[in-house]
Parts: sequence; structure tokens; C-alpha cells
Amino acid sequence: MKTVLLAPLDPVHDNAIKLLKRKLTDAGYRAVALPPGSTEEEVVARALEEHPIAILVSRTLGYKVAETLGHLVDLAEAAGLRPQTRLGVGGMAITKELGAELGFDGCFVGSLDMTELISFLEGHTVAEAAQASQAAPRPRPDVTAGFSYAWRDATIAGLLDQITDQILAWTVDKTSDAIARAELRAEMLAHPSAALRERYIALCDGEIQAFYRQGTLPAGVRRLEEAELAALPRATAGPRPAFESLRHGREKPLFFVQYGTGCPIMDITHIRLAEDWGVDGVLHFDPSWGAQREGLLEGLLTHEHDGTIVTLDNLKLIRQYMNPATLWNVRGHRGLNTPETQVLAQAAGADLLKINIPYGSTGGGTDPARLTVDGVYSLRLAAKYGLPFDIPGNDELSGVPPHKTFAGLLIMVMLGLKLGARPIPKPLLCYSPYMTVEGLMDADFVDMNFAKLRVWREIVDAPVWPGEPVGFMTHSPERVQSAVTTAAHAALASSAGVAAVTIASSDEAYSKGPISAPARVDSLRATRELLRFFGTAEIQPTPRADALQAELHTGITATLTAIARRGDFVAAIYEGLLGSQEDGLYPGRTGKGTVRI
Amino acid sequence: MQTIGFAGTAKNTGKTTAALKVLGLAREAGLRLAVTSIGYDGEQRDHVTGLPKPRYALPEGALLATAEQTLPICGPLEVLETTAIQTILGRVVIARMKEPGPAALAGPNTRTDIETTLARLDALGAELCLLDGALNRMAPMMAADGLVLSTGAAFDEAIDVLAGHAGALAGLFALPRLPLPPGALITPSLLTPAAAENATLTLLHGAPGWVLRGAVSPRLCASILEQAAPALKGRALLFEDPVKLAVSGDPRDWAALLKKARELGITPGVLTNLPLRLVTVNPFYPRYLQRDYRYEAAYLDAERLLASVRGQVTTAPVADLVAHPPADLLKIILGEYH
Repeated sequence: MKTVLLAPLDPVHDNAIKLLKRKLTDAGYRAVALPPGSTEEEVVARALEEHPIAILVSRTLGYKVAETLGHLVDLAEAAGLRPQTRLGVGGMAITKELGAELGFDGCFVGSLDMTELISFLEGHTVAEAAQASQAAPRPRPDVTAGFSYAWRDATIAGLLDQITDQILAWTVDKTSDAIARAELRAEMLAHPSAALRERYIALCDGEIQAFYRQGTLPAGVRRLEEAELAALPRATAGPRPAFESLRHGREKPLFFVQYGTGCPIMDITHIRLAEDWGVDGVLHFDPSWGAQREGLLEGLLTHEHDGTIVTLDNLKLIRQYMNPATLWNVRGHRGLNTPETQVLAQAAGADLLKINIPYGSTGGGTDPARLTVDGVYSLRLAAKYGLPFDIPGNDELSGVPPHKTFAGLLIMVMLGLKLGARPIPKPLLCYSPYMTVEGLMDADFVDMNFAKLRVWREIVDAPVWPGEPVGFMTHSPERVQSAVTTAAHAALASSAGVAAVTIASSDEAYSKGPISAPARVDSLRATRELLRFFGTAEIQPTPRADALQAELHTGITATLTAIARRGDFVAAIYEGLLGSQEDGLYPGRTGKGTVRI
Repeated sequence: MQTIGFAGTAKNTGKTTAALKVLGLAREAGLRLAVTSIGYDGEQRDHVTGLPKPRYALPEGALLATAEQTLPICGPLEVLETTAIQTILGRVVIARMKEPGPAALAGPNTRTDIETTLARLDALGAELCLLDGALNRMAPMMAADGLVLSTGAAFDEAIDVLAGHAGALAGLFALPRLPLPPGALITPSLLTPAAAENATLTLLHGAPGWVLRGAVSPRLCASILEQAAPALKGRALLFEDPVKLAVSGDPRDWAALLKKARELGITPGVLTNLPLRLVTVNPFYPRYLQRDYRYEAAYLDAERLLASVRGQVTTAPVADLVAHPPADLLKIILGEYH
């Protein structure tokens, strides 16, 4: 067993040494701690007896204290201890430059990082340790693992069965230009040809056709320049910290952040930053206008507004610079290009897709009939690709009560299962208009959110992934408040046992432009701290949560009953059964009348 | 190539100022220069006191051995080779200045690594290498061919104490170089009572001499001498080198022990010596202002300081390089002054 000698060199304080001793012992080293007030001679004398692989010194700094540390280094050298015994120094006031001045071999700045320390003890440089940690492939987790999708509420299951049978029967003889383009795109990826390309272009809107035929780019879009791309390898070179998840004492949830700055290069920066700060996955958000045009662009394109354009080249570039273990979700649940987005996402290496017909055909703005046809086709693709798909309940943000949103999510769950896909419902943990008007979150944000998460367990054994992000509409422009509310919601979700959580940057909710890196770190850091605080301790709602949960369950059943009775899913959306105009929801109009037999 | 080490008795005693002075003279004399450091030289302000620090400015063509992470704050240079020597600030690289410019130095911190680096600088054509010290650290300086020792008010504000310490320290470097007596007791390090007991027993059995290598506690050494003096009378008491003595204990304790040894008829010496070319004195010290929680520059009486240290250091020249730089300073440094 390797020995490490721990020397406080402080006349009184040795708490850091005691902590280090415990951690090193846990890590399999023989840690010998000297008492406070040990002289340099005593340290070296003990080292000559123990033959440690390292002497670790902890000392706060002040005038003349540096000379004491320098003397220890000199004495160790004079006694012939170096290089077989490495000398390390740490403490809150130490800097790398001071460590170098003092002649130490290792210097540990700020709070203790055991990975860095152990790599030092084993003779590696920090850069080597970080590289080794990155090189050792981290497993890419499956959000759906461990869930049986067994239905626990037979009534709801029966209603869903009825509704989804109707949807599948209704869509069986229908198609759209989006489906045709998706099929052409899949063929072009396998066997590129000018003829296929021409057929594809013919199915696009005028603006997209102008891109393919004349090279005209939409307003606010330009191609990435060679110099920008050439700078990427250099900008992303260099050691990265070893991955440290946000979790503390728990295996779940997985943590995701969303990106979509408009620029793939800036996205790469944000993704790598988020990886370095502990996220497990990222979600790609595309621009709204892309959902409203028939056809997708090609090439490496940057966009000066929110959302990064979905092109195969953009997606591949982004994937190239992601850590291979980072889970990647590409949004394509709304708009006129939903099927093709799934094709491109899969080709670029996405791990998850995002498809929600009810939300996409209301708040998302696409015609319900069109998106039902495209959505079902997209679910078949998800099944074919073996990729799970998530279903965001963003209709709540318009004012829809959660029981109606959840009814829509459940329809998508059953639909996905019937088609052989793996669905992940995403109830929002948000301070929605409905919550505000009804006063359901006046007392706290705990009871209602717990009710929303727990009701799922009563209905189906499925992974639940609150987003998008959690704490939506609880954020203010005040940075600390924003980070804390995100962290609190994440901690609640973690305590409720969810499979994954999406968290925002602290400026995401109110930024008038691109979100900032410091703001992203704010939320991640706050989340880590709060998860550290709670560990595996549970957050408990009040008894009121049970009543709220029961109401939700009843409301879901009632909504599904009404839809099943209507016997026409598309009509149900038009007629507001999944969210009415009174709720703030309107059926989408983009793509109306474009479904064909 | 000749290597001159610049060591100090404490931080802010004027090591770098001395090195910069010599650098300027050497450049004027047309010597091909190299610089490195056993610590870190690059900050503009002292990290503890906040007071300004002198920075290295190197001429075109000068070689430097420094850690990778300091390169961005150096002037334009060409990296000639990257060594396998690791430091906290990355691997040590050897570079040549492309034009006159600032340099931050963070070189190897052990004697072995410094010797390796010096060999490379020598092979690349340097004629004079300045090895800058760090704080009061001295152990790696044995890699040098000569030493400049800087002391001053930053070590102790009491001139008499400062001068006495300097005199005792200089005395260590004046110990004669003596051969290893065959059959002598060799003690690797003497820091524990157990090691002292073993040494005492062996000496009392009649060893023809005593060689102390490594770190040596003057207190333990003195206690052994008291017991074993009759057995060592007429014999040699050898230490590895003066630097090991300097880092092992207070030079004043060593001075007392060596005086006692001589009185007992024991001949002290070293196996390897390091010529002390010059002692510099610096009247500056950082004075802490309680009311403002900051440091300000303060100065002792420079003339009195110089005279006092000269009175105690009799085995090497003593100079205040700022107030009265010697006209033949470069010759003194290169060992050409007798």
C-alpha cells in the first residue's frame, strides 16, 4: 500500500489534513497525518522513515509563511527525498505561480479535487489525468432503461387504446409533402443523386427552392466561413476537466440543457461548457421559422436569431465536438419538417427525438391534421431507429390546465408504444398561467409539482422527464434568484425520482438575445450545490399534494373520455378538448389543407 | 558555460535585482546568455504585499528555460525544444528570444532537473547562465558554478542580527573542500535521535572521520560532537556541501558548532563546495500598516547596513548593487576577481 505523508505545518489547524486523510484512506492509500505544529525537520525525518510517495502540505498563507514552505522543500531535497517523494501543497490562498515559486511538484488550488490529487500521487500530470478520464469511454445512459411501460390505470389505458386506434386508422391512407421529403432525404443520404435532389426541391416552398436553385439564403442566415471552421480545432484543443455529474448520492436523474444560439460554433462552445460543468445531455432547438417552411436547408449555416438551423452539416459539426457520452436530443416535433428532422437527427447521431402532436399542432402552430399525419410517420421512424422520443408538455405555458396537457402526453405515449417506440413524457414543472390564475402555487412550488410528477406513477410505468426547462416562469432577471429557482426545481424533481431533468441558464427565461456562458454556469453550479445539500434526503410535500394529484388524475380521465367519445383526434384538437381558446390554445394553421391521400 | 546562482535569505532581499544587474553587464560584454529560475519570476506585484516586483527583460538571442504556461506572457520567442521536465506550470521548454522583450521564468525546481536543463543550455551555445532563486530556497543551487547571495531588511529589520546571519552563512561557503577519509562513518541524514544514537556509538568505536550527507540537524550534530569529541580529535568532520548545511539549520548555529569543532581539534570541511562570489545587501523591507491593512515600502539605513554586513562577511565581497554597484561587478561574478 502506498504511503502519503500529510503535514499541516500550521500551529493549530489541521482540519484539511484530517479530511484528506479520510479521503485518501477511502481511496486505498496509507495516509499518515502529522500533528499541527510539526516542524519542517520533523516532517522530513518522518518521511525518511515512512518513504512516502508524496508529502502533502496544507497551510494558509501570510507574510513569511512562504519561507517556511520553501524551507521544507529545500530540506526534502537536501535529505535526498526527491524525486521519489513528490511534494504537493494546497490551501485556499495558494496559486499555481506560488506553488512553482515554492518548488513544489503539485499545487491544489481552492477546494479539494480528489481526481486531480490522485493523479498527482500516481505521477500523472493533471492534463494526463483529465485526458485519461476523457478517453475512458463514459457509458451513454438510456433514459428509458428500467421502465416497463406497464399501464397501472386500466380505465385510462382503455381510453388511450381507443383514441390511438382511431388515430392510426385515420392516418393509414394519408401522407404529406413532409413525408415525401423525409423519404427522399433518407434515399439521398444512402444514394445521392441529382434526380432525387430535384424531386426534393420540387416539394419545397419557394424560399427554400431559391436556396437550392440560386443559393439565396433566408434573411439573417449566412454560411459559416472557412476561417471560423479552421479555428474550431485550436479553440477546442487542450485538456478538459474530468466529468463530474451534478448528482450526489443518486444514480438519477440525468441532467440536460437546451441550446440553440443560432450559430453552431457558439452552440459547440455552450455544449462543451455544459459538459465540463456536469450535464449528461443537451437538446438542440431549431428556429421557429424553420418549422413554417416546407423543406430544410443544407450546409453549415449560422443564424442571427434564436434557434440553430437543422441541416445535416450543422448537426454533424455539433456532434463532432460533443463528448461521445453526452446524450443528444434534436427537436423536431412541430412544423412542416417533422419527419425529415428525425431522418437528419438519426443520420447525425442523435440519441433522442422529440415529437408531440398536440402541442405542435396548437402552441407550435402547425395544422393538427398535418402534424398528426407527420407525427405518426415520425413515430414510426423513431421506432425504426430505436431512438426514444420525448414529449414536451409546453401547452401548459399557454394556459392549458395540466390535466389536459397530460392527456395529450398520454396519447403520445400510447401511440408511440403501439408503433414500437419508446416515449418519455415531459410534464412541465412551471408556474404556468393556469397555476397563477387558480392560485395553485401560491403557498409553495412543492405540492403541485409533486402532484404532477406522482400522478404519472399511478398511470403508467414510464420515465418522466420534467422540462423544458424546469422552473419555467419562476425565473426573474435577478441572477441569483434565477439560478436558485432552477436548482430548487431540479432538486424537487430529483427527490421525486424522475429519469431526467432539463435545466435552463439563469438568463434563458428573459434574455433578449443569446444566453451567456456565465449564466449557464450559474444554474449548473446552483443545481450541483443544492443536490449536494440534499444528498439522498427526500423533499416531502404537504398532504395537499395528494388532493391535487387526485384532481389531476380525475381531470386526465375526464379529458381522455371526452376525446374518446368524440371519436376523432384531429377534430378533438380543433374543438379544444386538449386545450381550448379559453385555455389560451388555438389550433395551428401552418400546413392547413396539405394532407393528401 | 558558467552558471551563477542567485539565492536569497528571504523573499524581497534583491535576488532578481542582482540577477538583472548582472544580466545587463553580461549583455554589454557580449556574452551569450541563458536564464532560468528554480521558482517563478513573472508577477508584477508581490502576491502577499502587493508591492511592485522587478521583471526580467531579455535581449534578442538570449536563451531561457521556462514552463510552458509562462510562454504567453513572454516576449516573442522561438521554442527550440520541449523537455520532459514537468513543473506545476507545465513542461519546461527551452526557447530563444526573437527580439528584446519580457520573460517570465518558471524553471525546474530540483537539482537533478536543473543540471539536465543547464546541459541543454550549454549545448545550445550559452556562455553564461543566470539561475534565479526563489524566496529563501537554496537546495538546487549546487547545480551552479558560483553563488550570489542576497540578504537584507526583508530577512530581518535588525541590522546586527541580519549582519550576523550573513556572516555565518558566508562562513559555510568558506569551508574547505576535503577528501572523503577511507573508512569514515557516513551518515545519510541526521534528523532523528535514533540516527544520532547510532552515529554516536559508531564514532565512539573509533571511526577515522565522519561524513554527514543529506539534511543535518545542527542541534543533533552538536550533541554527538559533545559525546564523541575525543574519538574525533584530529579527524575530519565533513558535510556534503555548504548548501545542505544552509538549508538544514540556522547558519549561526552552524557557526557555533564549527567553532566548537575546531576548538576540539576536529577539522570541518565539505565534500563539494560552491564558491560564494558576492553577497548583496538590500535595505528595503515591506512594512505592514495595520490601519490600512496594506504594505508599504520601507528602508533601513543603507550605509550602516552595508558596513555591518561587510564587518561580518570576511570571505566574500559585499555590495549594495543599487547604491554602490562595484565597477568590476561582472568580473566578481565570473570569479575573475581575487
